[in-house]
Amino acid sequence: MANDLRAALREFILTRLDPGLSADDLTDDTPLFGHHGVIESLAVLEVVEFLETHGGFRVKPHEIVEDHFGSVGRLVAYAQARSST
Amino acid sequence: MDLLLDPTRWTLPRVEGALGVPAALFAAWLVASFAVAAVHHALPARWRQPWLVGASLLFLGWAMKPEVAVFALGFTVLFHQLVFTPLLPERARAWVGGLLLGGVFLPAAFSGLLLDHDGDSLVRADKVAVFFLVILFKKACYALYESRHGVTLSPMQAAIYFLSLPFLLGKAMVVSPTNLFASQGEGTAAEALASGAKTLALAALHLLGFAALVLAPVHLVATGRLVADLSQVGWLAVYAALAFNYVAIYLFRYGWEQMAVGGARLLGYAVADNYENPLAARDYADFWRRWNVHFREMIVRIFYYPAVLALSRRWPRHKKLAVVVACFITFGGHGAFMVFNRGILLPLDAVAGWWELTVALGIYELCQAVLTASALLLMNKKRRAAWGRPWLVAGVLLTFHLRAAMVLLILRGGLDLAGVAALLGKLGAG
Repeated sequence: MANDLRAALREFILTRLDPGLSADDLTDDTPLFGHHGVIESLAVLEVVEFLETHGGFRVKPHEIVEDHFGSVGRLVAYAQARSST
Repeated sequence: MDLLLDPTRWTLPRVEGALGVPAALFAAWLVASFAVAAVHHALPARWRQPWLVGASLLFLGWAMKPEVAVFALGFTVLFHQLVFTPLLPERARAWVGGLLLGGVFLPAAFSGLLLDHDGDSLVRADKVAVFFLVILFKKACYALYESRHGVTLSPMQAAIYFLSLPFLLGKAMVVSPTNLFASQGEGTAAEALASGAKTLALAALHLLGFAALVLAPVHLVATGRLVADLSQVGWLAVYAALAFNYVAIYLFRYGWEQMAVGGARLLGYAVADNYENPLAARDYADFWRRWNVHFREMIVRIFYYPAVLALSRRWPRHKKLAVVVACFITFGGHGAFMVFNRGILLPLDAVAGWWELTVALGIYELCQAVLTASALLLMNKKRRAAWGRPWLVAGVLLTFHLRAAMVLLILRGGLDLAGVAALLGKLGAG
């Protein structure tokens, strides 16, 4: 499940959020959040929608923090943790 | 340059006046910070938090007015007991915490019990207390917000969060409790001291730059007072002077807030910088992501995310509208904090001052909301790449000149709002 989600998330980021980013530059640790990332005030809505569609859970506003949204790896871990609760 | 190097301009009272803090207090804070950090690192881990709290209370007693120190201590103990312990049922804690902030903290701050108002400004000795109370209030709001989502603080952590960092001096940053305690690094004492010293040195350079600007004669043109002499100075000079004033504001804020970051780093808290080179911003919204980073994060977490998620779920086909409305709500919340920041300087019966402050901030926040929402909707990575550097430069220039333009618009409109215009000229960016 984690690998499927990771692959879908990577494709989503590379096609929707930052088409200019090369696949090689997007690792599990590439910063995504804040001014240095692609998840901005508007894009965060798309990420939330993606997670809710693929993970089957509802993102709560206070969960939108760097610990959960900071990178592909963190997003996958967050989605797994939420899906299992 | 000759004027800047003129030794008669660099007298101690003038530098103290520019920075707003007595030199003795500033020097004591620096010495105390290094001394406390050195002992902190030398102690066994279990003694570090008690040591930090003890040292902070000593500094609090020495540097702060007694009534402010007693109030801060009492408030911290009460707030912690009511919000972070099982003394009250879980559902009641946030409400009681909110009541404590609105029913005790705000009246105490505005009533004159803690601060000596002198006309429409404060005597200089109160400035450190003002900084401290403003930050304490914001920290309590942040802690209250996080408490609602499962974050807990031990008594020691509460004392450190509310009373210790950054040893009460300066316009400290408002890092979240979670981020602060998660930032305790695994590095060595030498690394922590070196990192803190480097940050403090850079911050001190910014403060020196600020003092240089304030002591330069050109700053006389760059204060709100110039508005009264608009007919003699000319529009272009006013505009340039106001924009110049914002550079001074940046240096002042960077200096003091990074002092707080440096103080935390000395102790091994790897707190992120509060300014991430705003001049490299890609657009207006990006500028604010890089400015006052920790407070911006607080505002976005408390206002923007809840608003934009709730609205986008309510209007699933109008997500851009949700973003626009969420921007207005967010800047409304930001404005409320700004009113507190500035209003604490006013006596409660200064009706005209309160009116001018509210109008000025209303105009300011409205413009911010419009510009930020526009940037969020219009700018994306693809467009940024296509439009190129000139648009990015234009975005930054717009940011720096926004309030100068607002002052000019108000004056040009012939409105009798000279006080508002002066306030807009003097306001530090939030």
